[in-house]
Amino acid sequence: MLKLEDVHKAFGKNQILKGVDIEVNKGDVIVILGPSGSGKTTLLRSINFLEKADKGKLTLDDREMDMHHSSRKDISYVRKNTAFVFQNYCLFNNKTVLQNVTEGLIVARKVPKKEAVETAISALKKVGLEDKLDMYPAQLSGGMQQRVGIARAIAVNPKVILFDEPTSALDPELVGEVLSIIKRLAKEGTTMIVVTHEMSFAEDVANKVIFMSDGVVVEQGSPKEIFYKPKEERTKQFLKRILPVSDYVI
Amino acid sequence: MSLNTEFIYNTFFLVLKGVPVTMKIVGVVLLISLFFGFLFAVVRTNSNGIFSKILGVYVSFARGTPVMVQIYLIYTALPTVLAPYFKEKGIAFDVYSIKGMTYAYFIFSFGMIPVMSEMFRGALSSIDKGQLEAAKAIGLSVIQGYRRIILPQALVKTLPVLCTNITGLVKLSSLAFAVSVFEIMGIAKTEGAKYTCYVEAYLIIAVLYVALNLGIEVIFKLVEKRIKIYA
Repeated sequence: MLKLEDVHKAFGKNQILKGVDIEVNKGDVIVILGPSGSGKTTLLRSINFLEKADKGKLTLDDREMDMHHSSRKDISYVRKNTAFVFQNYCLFNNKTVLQNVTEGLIVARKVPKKEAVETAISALKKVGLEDKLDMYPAQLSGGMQQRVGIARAIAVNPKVILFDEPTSALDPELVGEVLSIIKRLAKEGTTMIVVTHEMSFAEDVANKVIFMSDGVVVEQGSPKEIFYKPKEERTKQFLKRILPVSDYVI
Repeated sequence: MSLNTEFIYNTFFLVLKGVPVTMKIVGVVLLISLFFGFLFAVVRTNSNGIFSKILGVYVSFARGTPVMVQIYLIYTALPTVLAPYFKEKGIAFDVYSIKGMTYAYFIFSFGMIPVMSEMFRGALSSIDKGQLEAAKAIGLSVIQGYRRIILPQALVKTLPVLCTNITGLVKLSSLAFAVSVFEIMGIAKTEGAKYTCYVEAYLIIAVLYVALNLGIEVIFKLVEKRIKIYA
């Protein structure tokens, strides 16, 4: 359904992505792991054209596009069929919870207001915030803000949701409420790509784990393959550094 | 020292007639400088091209010269340069017929545009860039993102500075007497000279300017209170 081929991206002289290929099928829950600076976030952002790749091909459904010379229509098509959940939530500060969710429906997708409000409320119910409709982001905890961010993403019924370290900015005790919502969405069959450092989440819900390092995909496979039988030396070293060693056989 | 109370009483009502003139200068200059200031701020925030550089030079020049110098330069130099030029080209326009009020609008706008531009630039750059990214990500165009997300937030942030700038503009307008406009300051100056009651004349308008600016501050406090529901 979504395919990326040979994606390159540099910031100045710093080559971040050095030819990445990824394929996503409907219903896939893909977790991208890797040390910081490995290009995970840049890759995710270039899918949504928040970064313009220097080179690469993106195919969404049957629509093929050049990631460097993309037309306005291409970009709009991708953005209207995907959703992005940001590390620091990025809720619209001047909009209420409800308006944050309806904005993309009413303004970008021309959904009639009444229908948009119904859709938004049902999305907010899914994240347990239907009683906070008229609050502003600044009045909510980080966890709640991120749940609104997720509601904003699911409300537009995207083909794939891109999660960029959705729990990294949260206080430890708030991580659980956000992860459990993402888990539930995954179990319901939502297609998603998640960049995260939450290993147990990756093991529980991912059907494919991609390990990236230095701008390339080093290894990919099922969580079992990656966590218990990593083939590449770099993967092993990364896992050794971040996992409680006794739990896994490395 | 005793004050001439009769003079104060009479002159007060005379000076009041200058208030609409002052307000007219403030209003027109405000509209012009907000419009161009905003335009220049957007250009300078989003591009680094030649036009943006020229604007940078203009801002430096306008901020780096005393207003009095700008007034005398434009008021004296402009006609002497333009008059022979128009004559040579056969343009039937009498440069000396340009009214003092027009000079006032032009000169004060020239000075206020950079001030407003920097105000908007500061506010725009204080908005987290994630706001525009999130707008793009949900499918909004850049223009929609600016109009619906960035601007409402930036404008709220400009309010306190805008208040300072407008009170500054009210005070700045007192220099319009230098281009022969009879606003508050101009009237007070002539009346004071006529009866040699300078102290009284300036006392009156000092109080009047404070009153005007207090009014502006109160209005802004009310607006801020109403608008600041978030943040």
